[in-house]
Amino acid sequence: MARSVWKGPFVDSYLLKKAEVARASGRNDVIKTWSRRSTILPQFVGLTFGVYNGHKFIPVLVTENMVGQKFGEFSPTRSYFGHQADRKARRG
Amino acid sequence: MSDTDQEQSKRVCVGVVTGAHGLKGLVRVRPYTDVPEDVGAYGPVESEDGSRSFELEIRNRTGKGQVLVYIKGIDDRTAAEGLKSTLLFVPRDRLPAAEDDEFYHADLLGLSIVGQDGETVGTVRSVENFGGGDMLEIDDARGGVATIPFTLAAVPEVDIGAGRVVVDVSQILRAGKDG
Amino acid sequence: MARIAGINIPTQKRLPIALTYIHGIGPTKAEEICEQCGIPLERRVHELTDDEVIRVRETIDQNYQVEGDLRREVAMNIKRYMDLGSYRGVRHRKGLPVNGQRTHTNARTRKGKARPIAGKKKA
Repeated sequence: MARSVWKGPFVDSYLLKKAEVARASGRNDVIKTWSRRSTILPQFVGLTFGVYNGHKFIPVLVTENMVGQKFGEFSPTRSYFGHQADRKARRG
Repeated sequence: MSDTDQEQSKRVCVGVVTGAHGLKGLVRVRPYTDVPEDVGAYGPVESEDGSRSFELEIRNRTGKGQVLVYIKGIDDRTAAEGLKSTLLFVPRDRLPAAEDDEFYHADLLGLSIVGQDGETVGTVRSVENFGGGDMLEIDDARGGVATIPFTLAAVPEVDIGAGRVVVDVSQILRAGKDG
Repeated sequence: MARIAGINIPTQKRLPIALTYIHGIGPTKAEEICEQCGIPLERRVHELTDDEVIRVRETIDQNYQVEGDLRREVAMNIKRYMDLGSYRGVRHRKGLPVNGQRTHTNARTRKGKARPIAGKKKA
């Protein structure tokens, strides 16, 4: 069952505050968070969050099409994801 | 680093033979390449100890992300089965040059990480991307595993030749609240 | 014979039941549609006048997303997840359950028919 629309998206309120501060300061520091349950809001786009996965923080650079997902989806709690030989990493 | 390690680091594993297919010596290969068909795109591959070299000819792609490959000289099922679980390597320098600000994972692994003031931070343990941009996983010199986003701001300099990566120390994410 | 929303031709049944044969219309929406068109729920499809059929067809066209369009939208959503590379996307890609169900046993809908494991023998 989907969440009722009238409640609005769920976000831990301290995250909102932290995001605003980061926005205002202009410094693109990583915002550490344990709140994997929070929805990614449009105002988070462009910020980097360190999302805890029970072991370490996974940096998540929020892009537009992530809006509406939860932070936890980008920070897997189990490890093996295969290996690749010629895979490239892009420094964005 | 010993000599054999040096030798190893110059090659990348592009796939593994998972079994035989049919009677005519085709083998199934699980590619570790980004695009499955690229297993054979970098010229002949060699076995792990380098003693055997294979010329691959991509025949088909199976549904499970594997490819069917004809290997020159392997013409019957018995020979094909004999190759099962052989790892396939390609010399690193055969991969096409990466673009600006693009790096092969194989190149980044094991590089030492230093802060902007020269302080040693650790080594690159792995490179991951879970949908939120690329990141480096660091074997922390202080113990444990740390992470850092692989962005221009956090990782201003990558010097593969010198074997080091310069990072902005303040962007390192360590477990624990103090970090 | 009634063609509604493209190719669907349910006929001997009551209208609200027949409408559920359309992909994207379940019992609730079917009754809604009947109400909007002012057609009694007991009416069977073959008893509908041409005029009523047209009304039903237009109501669906205008207010509901059904069949091809709906399938396309769902596929697009799934594709978006897969391109994103998030956990949900990975689960879709691997053909495993997405919403946190167990996979030790069950999950056969997503995993497909059970495959025997080579070399596993009875003791």
